[in-house]
Amino acid sequence: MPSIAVNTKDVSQDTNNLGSPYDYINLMKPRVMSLVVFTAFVGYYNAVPVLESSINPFLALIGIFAIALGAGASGVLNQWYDKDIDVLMDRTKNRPIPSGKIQPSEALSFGIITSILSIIILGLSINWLAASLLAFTIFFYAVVYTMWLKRQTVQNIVIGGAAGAFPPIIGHICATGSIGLESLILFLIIFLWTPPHFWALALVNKSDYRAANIPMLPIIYGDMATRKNIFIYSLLLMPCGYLPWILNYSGNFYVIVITLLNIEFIRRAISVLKENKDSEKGLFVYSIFYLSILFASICFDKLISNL
Amino acid sequence: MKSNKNDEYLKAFYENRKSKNFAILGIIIFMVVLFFFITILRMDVTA
Repeated sequence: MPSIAVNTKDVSQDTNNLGSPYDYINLMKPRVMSLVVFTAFVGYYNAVPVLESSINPFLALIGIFAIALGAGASGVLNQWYDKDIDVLMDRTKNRPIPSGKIQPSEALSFGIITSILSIIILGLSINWLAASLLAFTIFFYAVVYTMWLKRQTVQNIVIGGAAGAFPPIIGHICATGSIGLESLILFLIIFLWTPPHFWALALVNKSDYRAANIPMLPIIYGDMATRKNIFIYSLLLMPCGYLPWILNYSGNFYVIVITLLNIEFIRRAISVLKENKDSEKGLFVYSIFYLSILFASICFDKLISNL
Repeated sequence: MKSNKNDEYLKAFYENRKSKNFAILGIIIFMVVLFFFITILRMDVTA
């Protein structure tokens, strides 16, 4: 071992902050990644008629992996930039960077390298249009939403929600090489779903957002304005849920499922509007269920129509 | 006493760095294999 002069304090910081693989996985926001992968897969699978004469299934799997990597990379860059506010919020103070498990510089390098890798892998395995949109999605989430909108405007999650809505379009481009109307409908559904989802969370964690000085709707315009906006966006979301059926991309199974999902969503949005106890948390949890089942039923409907 | 502490830190530092280097090596090998498969699959040997 070479003899080198090392400052004890510096070494102790380095050894404590290298981070375990588990910390790096957490840094990539695995739950968000799984939702991104799922919605991208549905966008991909929804293009099945074209897919039959299209890409190799192994390449498709590599493409899905690249999308997951890209989603994780944008989560890393988000956590790197938000390290100063994450430490102020109870919900986020145990994340790898604020808790000191990973150094910010390590996270930044990791985020940039995984971003570049994900774009290259998607471009080489599928096509460069999909890779370009993945690059734009990472840029939109990490720069437009995280660095700009999140701390500047009350409409942060409305506009920033587009970042989470791009994956089905990427999935569709992977299968067809072009942007299809059905993927734009899925984009619209996620885009309109995002505000009620995040504003319900903002109502629950209002003190967190206030402590971090983030201009969320309940902090700037108050609870009642937020509840009304949740209700309005829920009303806008409902008809969009029917678009895959109206435009004949999905069948009767889907329309039954979406009707049941919509009824419960509106019931919960009304409950939030009436300020019922724990209704905000209930809507937040249900909204995740809503989106998952909606996308799963699109897939299932396609599956049974192909039998 | 201080020297012992320094040695412990150094040992931990080199061990952590070693595991990190192995992790990076693993990732590089994975990428090589991945790009190899992408190339083979993109060649479309069935066509």
